[in-house]
Amino acid sequence: MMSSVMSSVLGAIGPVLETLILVRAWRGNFLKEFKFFYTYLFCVLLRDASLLVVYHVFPTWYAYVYWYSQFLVLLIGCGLIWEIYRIALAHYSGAARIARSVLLFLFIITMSRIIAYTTNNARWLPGQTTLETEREFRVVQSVVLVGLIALLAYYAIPIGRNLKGIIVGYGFFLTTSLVQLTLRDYIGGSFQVSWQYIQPVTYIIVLLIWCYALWSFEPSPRCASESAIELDYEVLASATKRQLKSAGAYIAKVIRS
Amino acid sequence: MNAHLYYLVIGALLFLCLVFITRRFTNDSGEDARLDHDALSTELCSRIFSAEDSNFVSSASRISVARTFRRERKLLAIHWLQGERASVSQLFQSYVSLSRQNPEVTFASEVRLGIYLLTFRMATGILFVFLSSVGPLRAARLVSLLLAFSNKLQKMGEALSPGQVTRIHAEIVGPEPHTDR
Repeated sequence: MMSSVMSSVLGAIGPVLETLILVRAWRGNFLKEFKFFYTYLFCVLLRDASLLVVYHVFPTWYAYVYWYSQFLVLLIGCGLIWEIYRIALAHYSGAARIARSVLLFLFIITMSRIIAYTTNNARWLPGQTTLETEREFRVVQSVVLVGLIALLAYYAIPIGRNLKGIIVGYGFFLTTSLVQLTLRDYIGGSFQVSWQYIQPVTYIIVLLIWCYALWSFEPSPRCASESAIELDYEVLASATKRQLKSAGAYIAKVIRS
Repeated sequence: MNAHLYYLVIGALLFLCLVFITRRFTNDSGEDARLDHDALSTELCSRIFSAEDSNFVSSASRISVARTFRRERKLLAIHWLQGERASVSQLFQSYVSLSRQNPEVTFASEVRLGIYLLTFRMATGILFVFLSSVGPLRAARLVSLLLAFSNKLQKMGEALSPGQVTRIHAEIVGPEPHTDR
């Protein structure tokens, strides 16, 4: 009885927070700034509401509706990562060009793993269960997000509070999903009871991160070195390479003389 | 279990990235940084690694003074190396802040420069370990040996490169006789 109440409470907090984030963006007129993110959140809200209805009216359908709607949300999540890339690198054409190559490479590498698995098993789904399939797609998203964060760090791209919040929230969601799905697969049915609580609690943490980061709109900061755009890249790269070489040679000369 | 570990490692990697991203990204100056080393600074810095001062202190003072001298020289050498590393980092950050906005940036050049920087960091990292463990004098000797060895390897590599082999072969054999058909 107690656990059922607890489950219901945890299940209700999610949609409330999702609605709050959407309402804040609507009132603040910044829904259009993060179109994919808010579409994603709206879809999750719709899914949560429909799952609640299915759970009470058609309980036998719940598992099917849950897993199939989960894939829909998963696909929209891919769009969310694309939006992070688009917004963060909007004013950095050089970094965006490199990011396209790196992210495409990572996407192909991780997707080819899934495709190879699928063709070898003669099944359209890569995993033996829907849980494994979801985990494989979460891996693709995680690897691409790791690559994107690494590029943002390498090029020291300044990102605003909103975008940082979206990255941290979604990244935390992916991390916890990967760990939970792996534990569920490894431990088996006995983990199911704990999972019923862990999953909503971690999702509430994600929503709280988004609530804090997206309470109001804050544009991404831009760096000052706009004049650099006209600089010839080849000249810049070769000058840097020359200076790096000379730094090494200088150290060797100092030590040997 | 190995497959499960693979998923957990990816999760942990993403988590580390998130921890990193919550810290502010530094460097947004975009200022032009240059490495300028004049002859005077080269000569002054090279004294840190020369045996001349050390020999003089060892011969003209007590053991404790010589020990203090060696300790201070080691600190000075480490400080100098850290300064050089910081200058190179600044140079690279300056490059990155210019290249990120440049639409002509190429993947191959970026990778090449990244490898250069990585090599420099690794080499200076090894030097840092040498300096910390054996001091500047012995480190200089070790570095000289390593550089001489690497030069020798480079020359051997050059001698074995296909172009060089063809040239040597051409020199030995001489030009092919011209045949008219």
